[in-house]
Amino acid sequence: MNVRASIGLLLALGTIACRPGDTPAPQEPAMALLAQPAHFPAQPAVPYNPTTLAGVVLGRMLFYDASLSGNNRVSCATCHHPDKAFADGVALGSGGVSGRALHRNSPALINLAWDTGGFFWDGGATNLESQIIGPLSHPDEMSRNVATLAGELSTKDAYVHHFRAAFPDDRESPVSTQNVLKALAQYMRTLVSAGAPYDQVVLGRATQSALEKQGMAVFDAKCASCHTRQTHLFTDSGFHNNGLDDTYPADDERIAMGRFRITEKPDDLGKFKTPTLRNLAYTAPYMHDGRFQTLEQVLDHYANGIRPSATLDPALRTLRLTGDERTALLVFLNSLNDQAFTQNPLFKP
Amino acid sequence: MKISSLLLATVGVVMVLFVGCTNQVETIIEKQVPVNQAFDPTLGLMTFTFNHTVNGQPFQINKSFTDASGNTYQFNEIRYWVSNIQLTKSTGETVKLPDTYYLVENRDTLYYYGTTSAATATAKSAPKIRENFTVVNVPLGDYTKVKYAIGVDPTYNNNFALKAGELDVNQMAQVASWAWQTSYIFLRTKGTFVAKGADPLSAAQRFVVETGGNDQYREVEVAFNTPVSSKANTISAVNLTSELMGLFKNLPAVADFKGTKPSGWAADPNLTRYDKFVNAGSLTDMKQVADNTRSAVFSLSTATK
Repeated sequence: MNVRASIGLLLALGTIACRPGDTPAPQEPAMALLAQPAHFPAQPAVPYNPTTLAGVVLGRMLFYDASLSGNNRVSCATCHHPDKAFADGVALGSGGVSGRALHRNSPALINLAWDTGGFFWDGGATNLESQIIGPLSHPDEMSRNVATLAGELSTKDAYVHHFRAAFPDDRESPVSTQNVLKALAQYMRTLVSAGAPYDQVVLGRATQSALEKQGMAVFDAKCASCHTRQTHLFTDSGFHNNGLDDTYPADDERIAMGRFRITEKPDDLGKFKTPTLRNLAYTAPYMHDGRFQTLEQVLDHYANGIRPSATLDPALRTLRLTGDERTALLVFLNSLNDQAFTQNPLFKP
Repeated sequence: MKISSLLLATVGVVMVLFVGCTNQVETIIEKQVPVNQAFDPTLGLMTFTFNHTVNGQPFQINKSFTDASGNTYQFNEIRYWVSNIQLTKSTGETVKLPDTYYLVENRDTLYYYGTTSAATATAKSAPKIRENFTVVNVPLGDYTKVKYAIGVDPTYNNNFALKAGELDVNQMAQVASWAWQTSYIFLRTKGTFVAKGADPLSAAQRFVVETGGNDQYREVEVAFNTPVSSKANTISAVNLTSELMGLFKNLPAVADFKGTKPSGWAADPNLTRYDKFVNAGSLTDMKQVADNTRSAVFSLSTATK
């Protein structure tokens, strides 16, 4: 027997032993998750992980499955809850396996498919797939022994069928850590929020109130340099120092140093990822450490609380906000709340 | 070496890998031969062996070695990715060997992060020595030098969802201090340092030295003293020396390592006993270690046809 024949025979034995009887029936309603908003930019292609219905359905199962955690009690949705636009409503969550408080605020998961700037508040993860390993393995989050995950999932028939359907090219081992990451990323890329009153205005289906219009003018003049409105995403996917602090101690694994921790560039000290301003009604508290409970406190900060330092964003050095401007701004920001996004039944298994 | 014995070794590994269709930890870790590659008997095979030494002495885990200054080192791990192997022919032609990503290691027990819902006990992998690998489908010819990298190129290092050769995020995820920054650990060594004349019980310093991040990717070039021929269906051998003292060249004393211990992993059995770190928290030193992998660690032992 030559080597190729023997490998081939063993492969055949191995795969025959666990070939599934059937594949999951397509879930037609979920097709809606793949729709693209007409007024958004084209979604960046992900050649190594194109989104498919079967992949999204599998990712959705995994996202809500607490058996992915070390103690079977924590899922992705524990800290990224759909009712809260996939944030968790607390400054520093302590809902992970260890019960210890995290060092950073759980970010909302909104329109991530367009985000090519890196993930985590400091952008340390280069893509959505790789990002998952962080919360999945961290003892204060899901505390998962990643090396045993695929083996455990492959003992569950429902999962094996879904993995085969989602990754038909991986015939030998469809249930793998890589495919867990891919499916979860596919699901997260379908968390599209484009149904706020603001979007109705952009699509010509509604008109703005006078105050909303006034607020949008203030926004365009004073906020849009980072919270990009042109794309309707309300983030530039970049990193900025918005003057929350003026010292950046190196303790606690350099957590306060922000983007610097990743790039080691002095220009990046104290810079954090620009969050989208969509769905703010559901994503309080605000900032990378959740220090502000209300939008009034956030505007207080931008109006009066900026702490200058070398890396402070230039646009914030001269920012002033009058009382009238603040009122109008809050009305405009309120038009970015997409209630349907927080209630979409297709986001849940 | 005749091919027949390699065939047996390969078949044995394949059996372990595919029985039951689950990628059990041990089978991933123990993978010896690139079974995913189609094997073409009209091309050659080349075995690369890394002979680890400490100050010229053969490496062993948990054995005391004395450096030139009289300090004592004990190691319990050396582990690194060898990737992107290129061979150069005597004509100057360069041949890239695709999907060459291999994890070389000689280590004590490795504990896995987190727990498994099926079992509350901490999972671990038994001590392991894996210091050689065989590359298949090496184009025929006479080669005069080899180039390989220590680390993983950005295409794969930036994305844990991609697979090539032995690259596998499960290998990465055992060292969770890098999960916050997308990167494989390019190289890691752990051990105990006792300065000359110091009390080995009270003055021992336990260190972890890691490199990672795209900027730490380094290519190593080693010339052969006589050309190595790749012939059809035949295994040629390249034996390299990997001198661990070279990793410490131009580094501060172990007592002055400034890297950060990942605070969230206080209870991790791989790290609890360690107090001195070179890692992304001490970029200058980490770059120095990466530079050392290029210039001060690897040399040719023998190369045979």
